[in-house]
Amino acid sequence: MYVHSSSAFICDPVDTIDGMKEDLKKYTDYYFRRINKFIMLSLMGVHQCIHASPVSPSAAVYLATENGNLGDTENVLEQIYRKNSFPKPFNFINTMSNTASFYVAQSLKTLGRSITLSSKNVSFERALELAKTDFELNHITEALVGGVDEAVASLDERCAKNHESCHNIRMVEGSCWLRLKPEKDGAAGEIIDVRTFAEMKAAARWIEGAAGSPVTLAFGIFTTPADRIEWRHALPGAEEFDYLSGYGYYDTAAALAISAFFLRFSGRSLVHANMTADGQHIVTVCKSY
Amino acid sequence: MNDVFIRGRALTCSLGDDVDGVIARVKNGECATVCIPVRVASMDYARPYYRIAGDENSGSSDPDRLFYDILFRTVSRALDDSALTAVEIESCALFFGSTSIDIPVFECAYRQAVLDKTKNYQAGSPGYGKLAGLVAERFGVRGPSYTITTACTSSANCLLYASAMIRTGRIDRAIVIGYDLYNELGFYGFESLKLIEPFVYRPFDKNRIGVIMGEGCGAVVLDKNPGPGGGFIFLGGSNACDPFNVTTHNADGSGIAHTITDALDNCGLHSGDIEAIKAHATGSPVNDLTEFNGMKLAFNGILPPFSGIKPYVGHTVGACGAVELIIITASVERGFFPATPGFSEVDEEINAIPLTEHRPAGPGNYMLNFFGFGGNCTSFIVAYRN
Repeated sequence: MYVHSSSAFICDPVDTIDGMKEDLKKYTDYYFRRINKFIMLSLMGVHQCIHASPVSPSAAVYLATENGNLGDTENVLEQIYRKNSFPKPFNFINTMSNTASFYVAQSLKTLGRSITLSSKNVSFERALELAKTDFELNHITEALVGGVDEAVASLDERCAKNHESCHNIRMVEGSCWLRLKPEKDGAAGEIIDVRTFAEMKAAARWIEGAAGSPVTLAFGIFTTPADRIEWRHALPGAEEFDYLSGYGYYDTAAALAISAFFLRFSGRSLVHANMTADGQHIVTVCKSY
Repeated sequence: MNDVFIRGRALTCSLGDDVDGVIARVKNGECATVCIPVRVASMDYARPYYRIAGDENSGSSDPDRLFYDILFRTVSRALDDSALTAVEIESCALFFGSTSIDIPVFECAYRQAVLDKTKNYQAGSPGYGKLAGLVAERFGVRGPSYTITTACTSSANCLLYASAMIRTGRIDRAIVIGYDLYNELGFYGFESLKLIEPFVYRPFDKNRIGVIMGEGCGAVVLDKNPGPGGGFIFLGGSNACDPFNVTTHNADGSGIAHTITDALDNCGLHSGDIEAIKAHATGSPVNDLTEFNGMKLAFNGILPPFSGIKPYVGHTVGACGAVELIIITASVERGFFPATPGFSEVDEEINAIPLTEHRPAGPGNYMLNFFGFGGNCTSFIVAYRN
């Protein structure tokens, strides 16, 4: 899968989307009504990725998210349980996170696949696997793969979830996308592989032969200090890309690592080492031209 | 490319929790709804709902335990049916399709939070992947997990991608789960959209009014190897987005036709190769019109026999892909393709006439269609080889 463009949209947590609405007008003249923060984030990221260039009518959309739509779910529950009323129809509809991939498809005028998916801690990597499968079966000729999540409001929740490993990392709203095609012509790079390993030793053995050179190494937030040492040992001389300190964290931040790599680095390989919720190692290898 | 076999199945729905019993009741034309009172906005009426037996009073017992019991017991029975070894189970990928995911459990906590004036939803969000993770942990599954949430096509898309990954050799086998239980967010949400049928479920009928929702858990084991009794092969299909409107597809049926045609192409089949179609058939006036227009376009006006089976178990929303696949395949194995209960009067505007009697069925290709909010369209085809 060749990467033809990418975006890394992040911002500090916001209460309203008015500012984003204005920003979105720089990228598309499409007018959206009744959308929420999650949908707005999705649109910002994908339109920054596309930059107004034409998209194939059959392009597929894969939207990876850990939490989906937090805001409207809260709104609807409040309407039912606190206000004792029916949900407002558009609040209810927007609780379904695939409304975001719908608006992405509508704004791009695409009729292709539209999938919203999640996988504890590794949603973006799993989305890449679905896209790769569709390319292998020749079911698609272009894909937009994004990782979108709202900033989780509670610092306590975030730290508990991340085993208190992120006290010095700021939480951001994030929407980072890749535009993928099977053709190399005009590409900025490629996704070489996404692999899952039960054991660190097997992952390290594999990466010694799979990583290109020069190599950049980046870690997901759940990668333990001990495993980071193993990775550094497996890839001596690798330059580290600490995107979490540089940009901030959101729950599908693997998308940020990979998108930002393509925006910032050329002529290098990226090894992004992440961990699944059950402690397996998931490794994404990319190459920028 | 690998073949993909349906190796194991289990379901829990309003008609019961064993496949033989459920299909016997389908054959008898049984439908079982309960009335759910509408409790908000000082309203005083009720709407029908297809509840899983024992679940209708869950608000006063232990809804958390029941929620996980139904899920785990259904998956356990599907694994038993598949006769997978422990090593094979460990190697499974896990696909989880749902609209509500764990909202039924969370609503209970939220109600309590309202009373306590404490927690809010964001602080408690466990992430969409939580349930798939719990199933994996419970059964020792170590393959990748994918939670797909695309409204009413959720578990249908899980089946589609599980089969695609087996076909390409990325995985050898998968457990595919569709799960949606009663939740007030969905019930009141559909009621706020005026989509709930207050009387009798009757897809394609002239007097149809809307949807009757249902609870369902379906678990399907797909494998590159056939199981002990499996005569069905999952051939593949297609997913597409109709960007017409977030709640309705283009009434001309073009988006639906595109998906059906693409599904046929991806399976290397022609329209004449389909024995019968399981329509999505929600029973809403616009959806049935749109779906029928789409089928007519895709099949050039010459439709195979078709039926809507939601009147047996309700619209199980994100779970309907797995639940309805199980009902159709198990019915065909028993020699019949189910009729559409509730249909009695032709709507002259669309002139759609689904099966009103069970149709004898045997080896052949069967198409199952699913459409949902967000323009999502999914069509797949299974082959019975006996």
